Formats: sequence, C-alpha cells, structure tokens
Amino acid sequence: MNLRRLAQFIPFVLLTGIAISSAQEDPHPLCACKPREVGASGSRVDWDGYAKSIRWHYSIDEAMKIARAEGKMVFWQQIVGDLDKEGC
Amino acid sequence: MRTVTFSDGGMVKLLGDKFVCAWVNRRPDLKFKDGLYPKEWRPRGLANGAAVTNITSVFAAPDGTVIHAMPGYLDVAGFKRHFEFAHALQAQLYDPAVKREDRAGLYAKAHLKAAKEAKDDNEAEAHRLLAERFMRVDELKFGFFDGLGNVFR
Repeated sequence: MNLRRLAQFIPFVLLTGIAISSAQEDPHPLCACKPREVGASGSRVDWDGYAKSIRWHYSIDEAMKIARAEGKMVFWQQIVGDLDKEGC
Repeated sequence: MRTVTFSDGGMVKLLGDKFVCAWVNRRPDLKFKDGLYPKEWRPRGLANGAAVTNITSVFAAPDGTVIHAMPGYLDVAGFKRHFEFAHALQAQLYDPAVKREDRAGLYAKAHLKAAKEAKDDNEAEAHRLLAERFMRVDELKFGFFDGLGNVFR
C-alpha cells in the first residue's frame, strides 16, 4: 500500500470520528444549550418554549394535505390589512 | 393576535398538537382606518370581537369542511372557548355512527344552540350565519361576516 496516499486520509478519518462522537453525545443538536428563563421557583431553568412556535403554512391546500396525513384539524386565519401596527 | 394570543405558551402547544395552521392576508397593503387605534393604544390586544372584517379565524376538518369560524379578534380565553366548540362539533360530525347526510343538520343545530348561548350579539349573529350554510373552506368568502361590522369601508 502507498503509505503517502494513506496518510492523506488519516486526518479525514480522525475528523469524522470526532464529529460522529460529538453528534452522539450532543443532546441539543440545534445549539450547545437552551436559552434560560426564570422558573416558578425563581431559579433559572431551560426555556421549554425554545424553538417551539406555531408553524404557519401559507397555502390552505397544503395545510389540508398535511392535516389529512396527520389526522389533525385545520386552523386558518384570514387577515386583511397592514399588520405592522403594534399589537397585531 | 399574533403578539398576544398566539404568543401564549399554552396556545402554541394547543395549536401545534391539534391543528395544522395556515394564514392568508387578503390585502396586506390596506392601511387601518384612522382612529381604530387610539393614541393611548398599548400592545395588549383588542377586545374580543373587535375588527370583525380584519380577522376571521376558521376551524376546518381535514377534508376542508368548515366546522366553525369567528370574525374578529380573540384573546386566549376567547380562542380556547371557540376551539373547544369546534373540536367537539368536529368529533360529533365525524363520529363513525353519524351518516354523512346527517352532518349538515347536526352542524346547523349546534350553531343555532351556540347562538343562544353567545357572549355578545356579534358572536350570536356569526353562529346564525354559519348555521345557514354548511360549506367548505373555499366557499367561505372573506366577506361572509361583513354584515357584523365594517372597519375598513
């Protein structure tokens, strides 16, 4: 075997091994830690609502298709007007 | 509603668990009428039912049948009340024991009953209008509730 050629792959193998190892250990793939908030006890706790918000679709047809697949109802909001007003 | 009702943690979970959500702005360029928001306006939301021609919330079955709709702003408590009505009615209409041809009658009966128990006149009239028409989402025109109030004209 060509040792010089083999040596070119060693860094790749090492990096891949580190990446896989990190992925298996990381419980929060989106970030290293969740944002914190003050809990009921007064101490800071992980913000449970992080990265969980209403996922809006912009097509009622698409929403109905997903609803049929997931067995959910559809909530559709029709709006008129400039929504840049504070409080909208 | 997006900064008040839909920012409530419980509401986010409820909508995520039970619904697939969609929204459309029919005329995003339309400016609000002068005086709609008074000078002392604070971002705490409107009264339930305000802005009836500005917002309509529609609850539909996965097949596109309109189960319930309500014009105007809804706060968290108001939204939960209407969600519970829609959820219960949807379960009733799509109960396997209920025949498809009986759904329209059950729908009308439920809305007429709700009209009598409504919190205010606008809500009662909205239920009465819905009771007259068992329809799909593509048949619910935005002007369906125009008779209840007129913010933009």
